[in-house]
Amino acid sequence: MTRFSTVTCLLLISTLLFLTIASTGAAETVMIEIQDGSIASMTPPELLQNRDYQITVKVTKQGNPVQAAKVELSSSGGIVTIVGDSSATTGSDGVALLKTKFDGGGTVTLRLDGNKVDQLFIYYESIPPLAAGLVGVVLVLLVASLGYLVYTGPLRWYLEEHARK
Amino acid sequence: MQSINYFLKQEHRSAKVLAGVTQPVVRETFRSRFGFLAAMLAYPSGMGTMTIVAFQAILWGGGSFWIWFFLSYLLIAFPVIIADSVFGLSTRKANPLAWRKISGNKTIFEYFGWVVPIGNWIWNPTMLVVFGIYLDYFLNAWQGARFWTTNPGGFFWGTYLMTFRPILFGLVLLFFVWLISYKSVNAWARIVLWLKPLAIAMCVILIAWNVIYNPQFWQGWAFTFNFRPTNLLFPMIAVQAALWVWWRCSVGAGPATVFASYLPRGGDITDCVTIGCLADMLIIFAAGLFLPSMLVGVKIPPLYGGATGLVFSGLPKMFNALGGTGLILAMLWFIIFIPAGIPSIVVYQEQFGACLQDKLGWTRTKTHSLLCIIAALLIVVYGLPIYDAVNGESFGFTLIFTQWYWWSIYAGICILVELIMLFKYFKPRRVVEIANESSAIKLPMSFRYIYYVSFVLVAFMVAFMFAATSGLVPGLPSASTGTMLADGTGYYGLTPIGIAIMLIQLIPVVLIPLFFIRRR
Repeated sequence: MTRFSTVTCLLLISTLLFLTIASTGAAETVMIEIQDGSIASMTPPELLQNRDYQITVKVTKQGNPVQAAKVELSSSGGIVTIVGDSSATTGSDGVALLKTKFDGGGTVTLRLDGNKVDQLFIYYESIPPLAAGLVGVVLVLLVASLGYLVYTGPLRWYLEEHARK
Repeated sequence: MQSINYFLKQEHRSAKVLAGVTQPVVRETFRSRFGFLAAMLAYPSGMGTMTIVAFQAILWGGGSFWIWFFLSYLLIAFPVIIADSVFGLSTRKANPLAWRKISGNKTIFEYFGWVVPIGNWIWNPTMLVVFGIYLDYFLNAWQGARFWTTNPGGFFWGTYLMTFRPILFGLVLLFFVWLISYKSVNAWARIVLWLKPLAIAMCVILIAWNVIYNPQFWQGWAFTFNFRPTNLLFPMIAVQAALWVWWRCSVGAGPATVFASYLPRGGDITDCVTIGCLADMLIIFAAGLFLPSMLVGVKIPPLYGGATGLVFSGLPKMFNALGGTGLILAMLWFIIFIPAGIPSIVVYQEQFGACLQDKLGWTRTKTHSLLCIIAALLIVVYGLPIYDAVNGESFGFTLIFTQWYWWSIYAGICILVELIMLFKYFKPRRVVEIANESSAIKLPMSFRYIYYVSFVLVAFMVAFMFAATSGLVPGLPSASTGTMLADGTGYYGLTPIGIAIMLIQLIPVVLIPLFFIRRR
């Protein structure tokens, strides 16, 4: 029994270790290049929610790296929240690193020293059940209630008036 | 000839005086039950709310905003519109005199009964300027970027508003408003009955296009409708959503009173009001199903705080990105204002006109012609192509925006006044009884308790809004609350410019009722 427990524990620990290492290794790299205050390139061009990202932001001005510039990410639309680093400062090579994840979709504003550079889309991987549910429920309720009311009201009035004539 | 007419008039008047008979003014009546239905379909409408609610949802919690929007509609706007209608049906008067009669001749209630109809009517020339621009953009949509350029925002705010075109097209539309209003209430009812269904049909076409041709359509839906349930408890989301409902419905002495006073025998209040409200919710929801998705589809961030920037800057940018298809969609979009927006203009014209006719005994033609002349002058003011460097637009537009923003504040206060009058003098139970007498669908007696819920909600929301914009709510800096009192731009808020412009808007709304209530 004791041996069985030990084996189970070891298996659990190794699984956890594997998952931790695997998830760390799975962080996707994003390269953003800011030239003279605006985004010159971004690879990949699209960011998805619930993915671990290592965002490398390279800031240059007239071709020279900018040191000690503050790079910030802040939520600006939708229900996105930033889990992990939301700001970093560039080093002597003009590069700032942010390890982050976006919990939810929407738009995120990228700022450099407080000035807005651009908006980044954080896309959903698939339509979230709450959004689909809300759209479906509201549509069904509105259309069904309207249909019923038109039937009991205007349609009947029309038929009554038509019959009278 | 003139002297004969004068003599005949004198003779007629003398005959009435001699006979000691006061000729009763015959009140107009809808020719059928469809008249009130047409009015209720036309009343909650307009382009601003239709376009911007989905974008406000993106800024304020997605689906949580929508849930509060519908709740505010059902718990505040719908019961108050039912009460407005019952007031009209039972008094056969327009708002000010109806309120006076209900309150047992209290002038304070007549005063508030004037505030909303005047405010609604002043909204008309502001909207006619904007609809004039819609019309101009529709006529030029076939040119696309050749008209609104590749930088539509810069063109609209910097170039287009510095022309007299908004005034010109606004005056053209005003002429049509006069044409369908001056003769009879039945003339316009026959036209507007079909407009809301037409607007919904046009929205369905745009949704279908979006779903078929835009592979990213569901991303837009996710942006607009996804939510975290915990956000439902965030008061600012509820307040923001409710503000749009008040603004949309102009409740608190709303036009339903006037239209119910025209109700023929057997007219159905509950059915018509419910259809009107549901159709309006449907069209706003439908706009949420295609507008943000279309922007996301061409990678334009769907972040707009106001409808004007969205319609004349964001959407043309999107139409440009779509190429030839964009031109067809642009034509469809810019003409939608006729079925979706113009009916509300006619409704508010009718409401204020009926108030004046009741109080002053003027004829319909005289009242509507005079109102249109004043509206024409206001269109010139609101369309003034003088550059306002502080706000980066025309000075006329600064006035328009301020008028809109302050209006929602008055509306909130007027709802509270109306509910106080209802509780003290009319009683919610009577509202349900009278509505049920004239309706096929019967409201349960428990419906009367919704009025207490409405009162608590509106009182809380107005108080919260003032507290938040005064910086009294922890974690909410006043300038970033984004409410209609202070959105950080400086000219809506309690700033010297904001207060000065507010006073310009306040003069007609606050002082004109004082003039009217003194007249017997």
